[in-house]
Amino acid sequence: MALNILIVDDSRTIRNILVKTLKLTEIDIGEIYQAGNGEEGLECLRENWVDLVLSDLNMPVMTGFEMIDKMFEDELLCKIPVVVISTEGSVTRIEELKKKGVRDYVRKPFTPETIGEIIASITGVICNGSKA
Amino acid sequence: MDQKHKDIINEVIGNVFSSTAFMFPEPSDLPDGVNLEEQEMIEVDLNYDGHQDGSLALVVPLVLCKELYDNMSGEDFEEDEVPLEDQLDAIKELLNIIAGQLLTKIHGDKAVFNLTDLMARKLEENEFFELIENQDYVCNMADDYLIILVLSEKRKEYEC
Repeated sequence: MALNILIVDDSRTIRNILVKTLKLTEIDIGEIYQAGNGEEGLECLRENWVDLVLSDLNMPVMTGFEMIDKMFEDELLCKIPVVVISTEGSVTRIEELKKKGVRDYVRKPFTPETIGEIIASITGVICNGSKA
Repeated sequence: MDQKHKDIINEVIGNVFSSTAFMFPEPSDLPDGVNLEEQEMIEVDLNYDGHQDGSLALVVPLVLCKELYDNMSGEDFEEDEVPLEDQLDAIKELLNIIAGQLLTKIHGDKAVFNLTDLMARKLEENEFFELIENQDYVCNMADDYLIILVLSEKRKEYEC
């Protein structure tokens, strides 16, 4: 089954890079939704079926931290795995995120391989497109 | 700014530009007789607080922003194909990544910071020279493009 993925990042450049990166992984991707901040991200999650969220942290309007908190308060949205992709380098903050339930963390700049491996480990989808 | 901090900044600029935008800046002195009549300069900046309060500013020519956008996107766009907003987005994201790497290298990976939104603006010629006269900065050159980074940290006052 193809994965529907939501990318939440205020940088359009990064969203474009992530879209290309996802296509490079050869994972069977369905829809790729994009949001420029946490509020838009939540709106998208409420309107669409999403299998995985890739989210930045520092964003205007609503940060990734706030969006993740709201997702984990929601009985449906809390089941969607979240991977944080950010410049955050503080282990203290990364541990906090993992305690909240964030599945993994990727520090920018990232490589397509890292993104592919993480998605594979979370979803059980092998990067060559076949299923685990 | 002491040499240790300058070395860290140079290392981070080199790493971030090369891994994100396939450009290879080299530490440099500000070239003599910088002429800004033929190139618009852009300043992006952000403030941070938490473990330490301070600000970071990155000053580059506008033409470099288009090249960064192309390199980060992996495509070679015509000049009029890339809106200014997207060119500035590319340089803002670069400063965002630099900030994340730099603050961890200087203050350690346990320190927690809150970053403000990134702002970009055109830097007038007089503002550029005012900045380099009054601020402690680190200069790099990549393909003849100036890359200037200003780090300014407030002195923390501790209670005894």
